[in-house]
Amino acid sequence: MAVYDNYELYNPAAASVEEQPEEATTKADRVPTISIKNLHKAYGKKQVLKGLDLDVYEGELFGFIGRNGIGKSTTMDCVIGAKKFDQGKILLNGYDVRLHPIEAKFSFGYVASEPSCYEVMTGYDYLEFIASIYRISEGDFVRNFRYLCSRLNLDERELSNPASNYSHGMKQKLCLVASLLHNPKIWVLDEPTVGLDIMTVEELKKMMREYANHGNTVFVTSHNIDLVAKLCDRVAIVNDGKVAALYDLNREPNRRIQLPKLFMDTYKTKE
Amino acid sequence: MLTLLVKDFKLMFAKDESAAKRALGILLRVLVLGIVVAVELFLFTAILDKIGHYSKAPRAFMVLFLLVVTAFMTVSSIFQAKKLFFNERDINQLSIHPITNSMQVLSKLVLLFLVHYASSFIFVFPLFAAYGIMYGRSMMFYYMALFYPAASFVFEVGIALVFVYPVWYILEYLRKHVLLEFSLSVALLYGLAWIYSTVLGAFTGLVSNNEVSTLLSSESIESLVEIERYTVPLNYLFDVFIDGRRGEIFNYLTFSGAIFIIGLTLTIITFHRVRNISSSSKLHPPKVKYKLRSQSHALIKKELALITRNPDFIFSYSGLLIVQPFLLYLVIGAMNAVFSSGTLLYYTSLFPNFVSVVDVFIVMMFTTIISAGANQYVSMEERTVKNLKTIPVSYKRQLYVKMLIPMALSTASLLISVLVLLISGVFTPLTALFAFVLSLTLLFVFNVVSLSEELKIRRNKPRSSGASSACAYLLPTAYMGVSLVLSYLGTELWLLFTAGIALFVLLGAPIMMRVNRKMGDWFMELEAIN
Repeated sequence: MAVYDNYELYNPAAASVEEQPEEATTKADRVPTISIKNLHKAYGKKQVLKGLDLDVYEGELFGFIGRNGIGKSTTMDCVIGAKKFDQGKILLNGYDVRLHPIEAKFSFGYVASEPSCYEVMTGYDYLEFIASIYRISEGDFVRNFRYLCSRLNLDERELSNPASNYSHGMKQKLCLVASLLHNPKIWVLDEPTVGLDIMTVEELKKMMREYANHGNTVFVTSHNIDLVAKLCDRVAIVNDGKVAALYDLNREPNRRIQLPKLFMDTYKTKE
Repeated sequence: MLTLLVKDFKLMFAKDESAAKRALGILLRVLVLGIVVAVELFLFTAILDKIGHYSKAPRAFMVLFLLVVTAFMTVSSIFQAKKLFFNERDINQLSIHPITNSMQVLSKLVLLFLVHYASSFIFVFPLFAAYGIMYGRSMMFYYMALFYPAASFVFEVGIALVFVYPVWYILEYLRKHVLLEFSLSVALLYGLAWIYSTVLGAFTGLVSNNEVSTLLSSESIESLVEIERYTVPLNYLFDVFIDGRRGEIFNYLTFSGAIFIIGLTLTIITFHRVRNISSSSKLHPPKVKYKLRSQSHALIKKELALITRNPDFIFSYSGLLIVQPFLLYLVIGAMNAVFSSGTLLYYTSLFPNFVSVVDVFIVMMFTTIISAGANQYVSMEERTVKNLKTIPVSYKRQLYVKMLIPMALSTASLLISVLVLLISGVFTPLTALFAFVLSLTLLFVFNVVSLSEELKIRRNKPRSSGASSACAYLLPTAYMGVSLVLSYLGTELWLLFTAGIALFVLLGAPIMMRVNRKMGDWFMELEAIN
């Protein structure tokens, strides 16, 4: 399957950031693609997550924000299977990350804040490696590779070079392409705009919106509150190891403007 | 200026290691340096001692040793200058600071001078001291010798600066042509092994006292004297410092100063050029010819890329794997020759299986030491540790592939080495068989221990390699010691070898079981190393 089934029918106008599809709002009857229940995690004696609960649905672009060192990255790492958690349950696309880690991992694509490609490989070899790991068919690889490179303005000539020669932004673009090659149901992005030029950031914002609009889930963390406020359907603010506030920005559009203040207030009230 | 010097010093020598590991590294380097200087002095004084009756010989050998030091210092200066002048990250970082180019070049030159003086002094001054003591030179001779490293800097670093850009350019070209880089590295390693064998041959000949007369014949000394005439401008330098003909310094400075100025000019021009290079203009887009492969196939390909495409591993591992049979043949051949002749023959005859036990010990040591070049299963991932955890492949499969790829490469090299030693008659079939099985068992234990060490790396806790070092060095040494004692008591050779295999299996089995049990937990606690 290609990244977008209706690739040929792609219409940039329909994907503008300002337009928010109505069906993107939460509905009680929908099954969450990311389901976190009672998540606990401690580093030694320090309890970082204290029973965090969260459901994120398909077709949703979800923002997960919080102050530094508040447990945001720990939650993210538990979700993607990079860290063990002490208690609780995480389901990705219906798969328990503890019981069925491989199936759960097939259902998401992950982009870290720091590019994490193999620098001794050429960019193209890295993408081929990822494609084989995710068992992507030849046809899908060619279509998705061409499409994603053109969307992210990734110079294909550069892909013949070892990744060690790339700039930070170029490596991040390569990781973005790699994360979407297998057309995952869930796209997890940790500070994805760091080091990207403004054109790529705008294109990435469009892509995230479109990806959610096509029935997938986009789960993003960012310190850029403006980006989260403008782009996301729902936002969770983490504090004290739990979700301290959850806002549906489509149902309450004025929250988009208020989000920076709401963010500050979350921590003021706690302090 | 001082800040730049400190920065450049860190650029040349700093490594991302813990304080303890750094201290141990410094201690080891001092130890190795001490051994090198001791060997140099031993050889030099041993030769001077034997050739006192040839009038021209002492000076000729002094010149020969100084020429060897010059060659070494010139080559090492090329790589030091490359690291200082053509470091991409350094160039990028400095370009945004208000530092003039001339200041940058000057700071790098000052550091080159300081490093050159220190290292040249360590090698050269003992030679002058030994020469002076043996031939009763005045205090002025020793005082002047203090200036020799400074004077030789002009020529040695001048030559290095002439060649630093071509070397950098060739290395950059090779970095993009992996196969060519690999072939040339192997050829270079073979060349170095050949030089090593020649030196080793001369050294063992000297030790067993058989070949000194041919090495120090009047013909060879005459040719050494003849050669000096062709070493312009170094011959002027030797006249100044060995014979005290100080007027010759002007001749030396005229020639070597010109070389230095040419080198410096070329380096400044190319330094500016490299700062503005764009590497993408000549590239072509890749041919999209993807074929779906199995996950294991993809993992194996990735591991091979990590091992073979990393320039650090070509010299420390993959290149050495190819040279291993040749090196083992040389070393074991030379050692056996030493143990089978002269006074050592008497001592070795006390232990019936001395040569076989020592030979197997050498094979084991080579195998584990070379294998240590690729046992950085997690460290070599660096920032991509998170990839290991997020890709949909079980951790066991990933870690087994990581461990078994270098293991398979080392086994192939070991097998070829043992076959070469068997076919060439150095090993008997029994020694060959047990050398292979013992080394393979030790290699497996070593790799499992290395894996456990790698899996315990944390962000603020670098790898502790005590257990794997013990496996690589202590275990074979202890085995050899015990075997020699048992051999003295009359134990059969096959029994010694079988006991060794049993010992390694008994030691390795519990470690293997523990690693297999804890692997999952350790894997999940792994963190990216930045």
